Amino acid sequence: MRSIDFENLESVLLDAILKGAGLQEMFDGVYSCLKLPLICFDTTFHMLAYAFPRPFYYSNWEEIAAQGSASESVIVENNYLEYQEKMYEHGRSQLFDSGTCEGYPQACGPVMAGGRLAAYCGIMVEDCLTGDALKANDLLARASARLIQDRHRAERGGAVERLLINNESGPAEAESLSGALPPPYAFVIFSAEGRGVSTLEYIRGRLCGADGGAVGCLAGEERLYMLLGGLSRPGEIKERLKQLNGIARLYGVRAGTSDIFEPLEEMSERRGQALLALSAGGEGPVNTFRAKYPVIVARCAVGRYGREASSLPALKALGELDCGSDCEYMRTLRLYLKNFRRPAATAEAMGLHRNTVINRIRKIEELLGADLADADTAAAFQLGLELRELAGGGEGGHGHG
Amino acid sequence: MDNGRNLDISGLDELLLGALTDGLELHEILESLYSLSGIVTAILDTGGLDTVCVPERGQRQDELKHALRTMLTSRDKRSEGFFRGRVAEFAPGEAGKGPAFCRLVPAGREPRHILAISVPEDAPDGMGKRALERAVQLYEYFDSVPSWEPGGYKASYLESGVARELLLGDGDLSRSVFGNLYDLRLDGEAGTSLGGGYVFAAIECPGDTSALPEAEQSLSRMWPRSFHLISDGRLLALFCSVREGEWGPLTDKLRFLTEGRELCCGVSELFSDLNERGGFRRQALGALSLALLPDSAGVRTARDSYHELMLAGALSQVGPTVLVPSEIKKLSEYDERNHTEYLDTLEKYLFFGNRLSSAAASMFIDRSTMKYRLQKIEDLIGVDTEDPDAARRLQIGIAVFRLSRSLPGMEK
Repeated sequence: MRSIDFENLESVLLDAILKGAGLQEMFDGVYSCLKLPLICFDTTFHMLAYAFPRPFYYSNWEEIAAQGSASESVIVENNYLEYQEKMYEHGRSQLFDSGTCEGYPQACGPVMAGGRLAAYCGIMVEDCLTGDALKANDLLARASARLIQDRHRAERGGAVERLLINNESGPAEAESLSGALPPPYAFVIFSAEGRGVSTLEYIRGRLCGADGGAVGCLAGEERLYMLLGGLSRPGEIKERLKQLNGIARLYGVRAGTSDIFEPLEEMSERRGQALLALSAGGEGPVNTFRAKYPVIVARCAVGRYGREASSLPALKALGELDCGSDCEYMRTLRLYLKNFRRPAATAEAMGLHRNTVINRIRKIEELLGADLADADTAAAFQLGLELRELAGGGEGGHGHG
Repeated sequence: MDNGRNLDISGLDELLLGALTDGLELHEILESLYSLSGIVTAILDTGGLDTVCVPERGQRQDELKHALRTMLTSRDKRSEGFFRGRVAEFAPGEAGKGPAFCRLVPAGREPRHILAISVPEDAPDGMGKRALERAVQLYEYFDSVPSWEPGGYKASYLESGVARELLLGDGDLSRSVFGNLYDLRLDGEAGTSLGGGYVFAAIECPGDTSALPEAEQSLSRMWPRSFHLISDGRLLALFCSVREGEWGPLTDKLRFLTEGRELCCGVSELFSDLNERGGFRRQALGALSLALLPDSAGVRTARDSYHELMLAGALSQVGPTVLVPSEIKKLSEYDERNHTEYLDTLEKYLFFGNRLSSAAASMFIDRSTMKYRLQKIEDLIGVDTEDPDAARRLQIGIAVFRLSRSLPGMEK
C-alpha cells in the first residue's frame, strides 16, 4: 500500500484553478500525480472528466466514459440516485464497496459548486491507503467544484437563479434568455418528496439539457424551479405535460405548473401559480394551475380566513341533516349547481329520475331558505360547497366527476 | 499574530487551495495568509492609494508602503524594471525586518495595480517569491471572476398589547402572555354573559382619518361590551356577547353610525370561538374593502357578500395578480384592443347558467349575436364553455379578475 503525496496533489489542483484550466486538463494532471483511476460526472450522469486506461475494468465507469453518459435503464435498475443521495447527504467523500461497487472499492463524493450539487467525483482505490483516497477525493471534489462554479459564472453568472428565484433579471438578461428560450413559457416547480437533491438535480439536467427548451435551478433542497419555453402550440404543451408526468412518476416526485405566459416580468406571479398548483395536490404527480383552478382559489380563501370563517353558515345545517340519512342533499346540490342548474343533466350524473332531483332541490331550497334560481345565490352556494369540501366538511363523495 | 509562522511552501498551497474551495474572497484569503504566516500584503493603485491592505494598519504595513513609495519615486534600475513588469525585491531591513517583493498586476492590461508582500524575517527561503507569485495569480483570478452576493431577508414584528392582541392577533388566547388579563377584563366588564357570540367590524373613512376617534366613542356607547382600537387608518372593533338574533340589530346600528359620516364599514359573520378571531377579523377587513368600492353600500357584511368576500380573501392571500387565469387576461386584452365585449358576454352567459336567451336579454342583444360571440370566444381561448369544469373555472376566473382590478391592496 502506498501513500499519496498530498503536497504534490495540492500544487497540481491549485495550479489548475488559478490557470483556469478545464476539468479534463486538471484530471489529467491529477492522474499523473496519483496514478489512480478518476472520474467526474454531472448530476445527470454525463461525463465531465475521467482519467483511466480504456477499456476500463469497472463497467459502470466504462459505460459513462464510452457513451458520454449512463443510460436511463442502468440508472433506474442500479438505483444510482440512491447512491448519489448518500453522497450528497454525507457531504464528503466516503468509501463505496458494496452493491454495484462490490470488488471495486471507490472513494466517491459530491461536488458542491456555490452551495449547489453540481456533480460527483470518485477515485478507484487500487493500491493506496483508503484514508488517503478519501482525503484526495475531497480535495479533487473541492477543486472540481471551483472550476465548475467559475465556468458557470463566466457563462451565465447565476442568471437562472436570479431569474427564477430572485426575480432580478435585467432587460439584457431577459433578452438573452428569450433568444435561447422563446416564449410562451410555463413555470414548473418539482417537489422532491423525500427523494433528495440528487434526484432533483438529475431531473433538472434531463429537462434542461443541450436541446434547450428549459432552464432550471434548485431552490433549497426540496424544490426544483424550472422555466419551460416555446409552448406556442397546444400540442407542444400536451407533449411537455406528458413528459413531465412520465419523469415525475418514474422518479417518485411531484410537480405543479403555472398558466402559460409571455412577459418575463410576470415570473414571480407565475412561480406563485406553480406553487399553488403543486400544493393543491391531485391524483397524478403533475398538477396544472389551470386544471386545479377552482380548488386553488378555494384553498387560498381558506388560507386567508381559516376553516371556520370561510364556511357558509347555511350549509352547516344542511350538512347536519345529511348525516345519517340517505337523501344526499349536499351531493345533489353540488351536482345541480355544477350542471348549470339543469335537473335533467343532474339526474343523469346521479343516476336518478329527473323528478326526484326536482323534488329534492325544492326541499333543499326550503331548508336553506334560499331561491337557487337566483344566480347570485347559486354562485354563493357553489363556492360555499367548494370551500366546505376542501376544509373536509364531512361530505362523503369527494371524488368529483 | 505570532502563532503558526512556520508555514512552508507546500503549506502555502494547501492553505490557498482550502481557502479558494471554501469560496473565500481575495481579502479573506489574504487575511488568513497573514494570520497563519505573518505575510503582509498591500495592493495599491499606481497613484499609491490603498485597494486591499492586509493588515490594514501596523508597523510592518507602514514600512512596506513607505519602501514602495520611495522605490516608485526613485529613478533607479529597480524601479525601471518594476514598471516594465519585473519583480522588485527589497532586502531585509529595507521594507521591514524581512524581505519584501512587489510587482505590477495585471501584466498586460490597464488600469494596473501594485501588489506587494512583506515576509517575516524567519520565513523559509524562497517563501517570499513563491508567495508573491501565488498572490499575483490570486489577484488575476479574482479580477476575472465576478463576485456573487446573495440577497437578504427583511422581517417585521407586530406590536403587542392586550387590546392589540385581541383585535390584531390570531393565536390561541390561552397560550398568550396576556392570557390572564383577558379573563380579568372580559369577566370584569361583562361577567358570565360574555359567553355569547362575537362580531368583528372594520371601519374606514376614505380620505379623512380624523373622523375615526369620534366614531370610536360612538361605538362604546352603541355597544358597551366591545373592544376597539384605531390601527393603520382603520377603526377595528370586536363586539362581545352578541346573540344570534342580535346580529341584525347590531348591523343596523353600524349602518346608522356610518351614514352621514361618510364612513365605510365591513362586518364579519357571528362567531363563538375567540381563537378563531383572526379569520373573522379578515372577514371584516375583506368586507370593508368591498364597501370601499365605488357604488357600494356603506356597510357590507360577510353574510350578504359571501361570494365576493371569499374571492377577495383568496386574492389578498397570494397577491392581486397570481390568481388571474391567462385565458381571462387574454380575453380582456383582446376586448381592449378591438373594442369588443367578449369578457362581459362570457360572464353573463356563465352567470345565467349557460342559458342563451336570459344572457342575451340581459345584454339587450339578439340570441344569434350571443351565439356568434360565444363561438368567437371559444376560438380565441380554446375552451369549451359547455364543459361544467371549464365553465366553473372561467366563472371564478372572471370574478377574480374583476376583483383584482377594482380592489385596493388588502392587508392583515
